[in-house]
Amino acid sequence: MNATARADQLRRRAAELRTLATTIEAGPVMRLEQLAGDDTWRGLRPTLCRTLLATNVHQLHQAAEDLRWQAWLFEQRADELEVIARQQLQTVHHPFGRVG
Amino acid sequence: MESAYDLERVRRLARATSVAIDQLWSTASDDPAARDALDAVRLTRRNLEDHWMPLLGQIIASRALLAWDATGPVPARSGPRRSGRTDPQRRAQDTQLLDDLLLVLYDLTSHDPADRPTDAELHQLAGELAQRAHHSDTVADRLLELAAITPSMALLTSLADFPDLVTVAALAGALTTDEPVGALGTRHHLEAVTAAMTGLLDTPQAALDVLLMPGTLAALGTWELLDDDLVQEFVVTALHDAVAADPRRRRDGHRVLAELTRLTGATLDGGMQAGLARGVAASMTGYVDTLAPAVRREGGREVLVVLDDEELVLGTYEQVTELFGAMLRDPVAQVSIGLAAGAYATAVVDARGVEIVRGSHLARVTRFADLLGDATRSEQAELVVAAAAAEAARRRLGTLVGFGVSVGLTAAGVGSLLRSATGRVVSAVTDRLADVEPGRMPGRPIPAAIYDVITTSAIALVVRDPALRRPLGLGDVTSTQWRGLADRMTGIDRTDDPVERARQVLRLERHIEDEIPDLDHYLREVRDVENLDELTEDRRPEG
Repeated sequence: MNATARADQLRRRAAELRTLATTIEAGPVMRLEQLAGDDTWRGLRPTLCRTLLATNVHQLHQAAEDLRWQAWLFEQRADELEVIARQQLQTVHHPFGRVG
Repeated sequence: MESAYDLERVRRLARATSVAIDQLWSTASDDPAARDALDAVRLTRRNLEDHWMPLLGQIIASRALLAWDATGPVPARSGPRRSGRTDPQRRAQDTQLLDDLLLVLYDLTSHDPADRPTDAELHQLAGELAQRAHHSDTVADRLLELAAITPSMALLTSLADFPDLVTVAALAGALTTDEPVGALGTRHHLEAVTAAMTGLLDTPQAALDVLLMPGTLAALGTWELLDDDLVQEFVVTALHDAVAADPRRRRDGHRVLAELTRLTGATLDGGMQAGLARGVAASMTGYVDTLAPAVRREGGREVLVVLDDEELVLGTYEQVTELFGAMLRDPVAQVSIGLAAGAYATAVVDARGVEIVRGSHLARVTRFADLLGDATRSEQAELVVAAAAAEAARRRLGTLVGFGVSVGLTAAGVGSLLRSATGRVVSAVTDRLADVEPGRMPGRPIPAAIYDVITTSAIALVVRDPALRRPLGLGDVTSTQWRGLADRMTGIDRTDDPVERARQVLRLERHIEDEIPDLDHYLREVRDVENLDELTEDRRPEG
């Protein structure tokens, strides 16, 4: 696989990771907290449920951030690969075999 | 920690949780870089599946009592608590009793009549539970929890003398439950609510407590299957009888009216159940003396009711007008509101005595009349309200106005007096309007009718009480003239046809204007209040 193809692959993966991050953060689970306040239920078990959910929601936000960070890394790597690919292309076609 | 839950919200939460679980199941990716994120997704899903849904399901399945054992007894009510020390044997018996209750509640949801408990079994269980609920906070608290879960508790509380707190919670829970828990079925749900409402007719304070519970007014106003007469009786018991028995609760009554005003522009925008409209209208004689002084004519201005110890906003003039408009769609409510307006007008005149020519009290009457005029949407409704107002004045029903004054008027109680008076006026107005064509009445008869009530009441005041004549500048009116006036007043009182009655009032005014200048001057002074003369617009038919 050449550099351009690898860059394209990385960009596709980055896009998918960003989509996944958006899907996670836009999911209905993120709105459960609003429906699960004290006016809905109170007591030890509801409190336990809410605490667990708060932990989960924090983890999901963190996971979404990690996905975006990973996507950014993929895009950076893709940019680098594209630069390398252009350099390789110019080297091949330059009459003296080198670029500027 | 205190435990409590709102069943409708819990249901909504359960549905949302189910949707969230489905969405988390569908969240997937083949990318190795997403592995950690998908772990977080899976953990979240499992938490919802393993912790949330079972608890939500237990609450909704009405057997939440078992689930709440983990949190211990739940203080879901206020007030001093009895000692937690209980005889272990007694505690075991209570536990057994509550277990029996759970089984009965479960059996009540069966569609097979053979599975359902017998009436004798229900009565026995209800009796034992009621007795224990009076002595055990634990039992009472558990009953309160169940009251919020299943309408069957409303049925049980109607069978024995439970603490009011439990009875109120049971009826409020049954009224505000959208769907019968455990597939109780609409018919049984309705039976439970009907039984509980009927049971509370003997305890007006508890009935008023029910109307103060969130959601109950909206339920009574929209549940078309409920019997109109029962709803009306329940509302009168709560809004009128409870306050008549304990005037300190008048502010609670006004709170109910304020909530009803809010609902009229929202949930009840399309109209309200006839029983609710009739019940509130029939109670209006008690509230008119505090409501009318609060009325201002500007549309956006607040109607601020001033009570002894607090002020309460009912809504804007426009909103309160909408409330009356909603009630005035019902023919029976039209009579009750007309009665309140007429009784109030006579009460104000009679109460003022020699002070009638001073102050602005009559302006309150006229503003209330204007409000009713603005609220009435049909000519027929105006006709009925006006006729009822005249009938109330004719029957001297001013004593019905307010709460505190009327207490002790009859051995049978104020509520009975109100009901019998309302019944008499309803039948009288119905009889008299049966032969009257709406086209024979003027276009704006309510304010005009109130104007006539004020006029005749003011004349009757001085005809009836000679001691008032000299202080009011009527010392030179001859005895012959007083006898003539008395005869004319009797004639007006005996005239059934509202149109003919209005003509006689007009003739009386002309007679006074032409023949008795001092009395004419007195009437002018009486009417020298804000916008009273405006009530004469389109006052009567030609001819």
